[in-house]
Amino acid sequence: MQIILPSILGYEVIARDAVASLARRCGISPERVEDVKTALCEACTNAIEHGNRSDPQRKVQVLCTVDEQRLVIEVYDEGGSLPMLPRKPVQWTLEQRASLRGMGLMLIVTLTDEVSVVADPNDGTCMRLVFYRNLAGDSVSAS
Amino acid sequence: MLEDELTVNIRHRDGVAIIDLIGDVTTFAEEKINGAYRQVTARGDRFILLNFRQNDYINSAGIAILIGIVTEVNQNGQKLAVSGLSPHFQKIFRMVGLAQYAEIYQTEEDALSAFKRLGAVE
Repeated sequence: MQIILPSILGYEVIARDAVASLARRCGISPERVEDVKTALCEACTNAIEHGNRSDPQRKVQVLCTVDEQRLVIEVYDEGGSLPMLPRKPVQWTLEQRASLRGMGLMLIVTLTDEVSVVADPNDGTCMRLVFYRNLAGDSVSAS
Repeated sequence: MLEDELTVNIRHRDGVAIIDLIGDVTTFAEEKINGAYRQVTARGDRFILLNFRQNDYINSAGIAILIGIVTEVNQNGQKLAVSGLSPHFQKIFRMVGLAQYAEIYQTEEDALSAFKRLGAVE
């Protein structure tokens, strides 16, 4: 499934609703679908604001693939900057919360099963979010 | 273009200022939420409840607005609680540390009962 968004804040909810529908239909638990929605919105917001610098002419592409074990969501922007993802487990501190982008990235890292970023100066940046399909229960705790 | 029309209502019940947040809490919500907080603070309210509607969208920009509010609440010697959050956003609030500064209650009634024990009166 492929969705293309303009770099305008607010459009991330369109991708969120479509991907949430896909996630539900591939057996991801309702609680985990909420994690998918939040992580995807943060990834799209990051792509809109930081990757594409809110230039509406630049596109954000969301590409979803499902295999037997995983839902993989790739969020592409047209920028070349590589966001620095925090390591798991994320240590939430007041200093890190002070940075809005930092908090969005921390949410992504905390809520996904796997996340990676690839930046290419010609092709832009891709953030890849992976969610396991209910293999052994949900992996993100409420703590 | 697609920003949600967040509706912010202020009510008072049992000595508590209740700020209803109906809609999405994102970067577009900053002026409305901060304005409501300034309004109840100017009125001298000490007990404040942020009452959310289940399943609305709260993103990191919205969380940052709320972190700003809890900072001011602490500086102003007020008490803040939240109610009406979905289980997912209750988890997120605990994750980011907001729950350290604002008690989370399932319902408005639960929050009002707790405020009453803290001394809020009609």
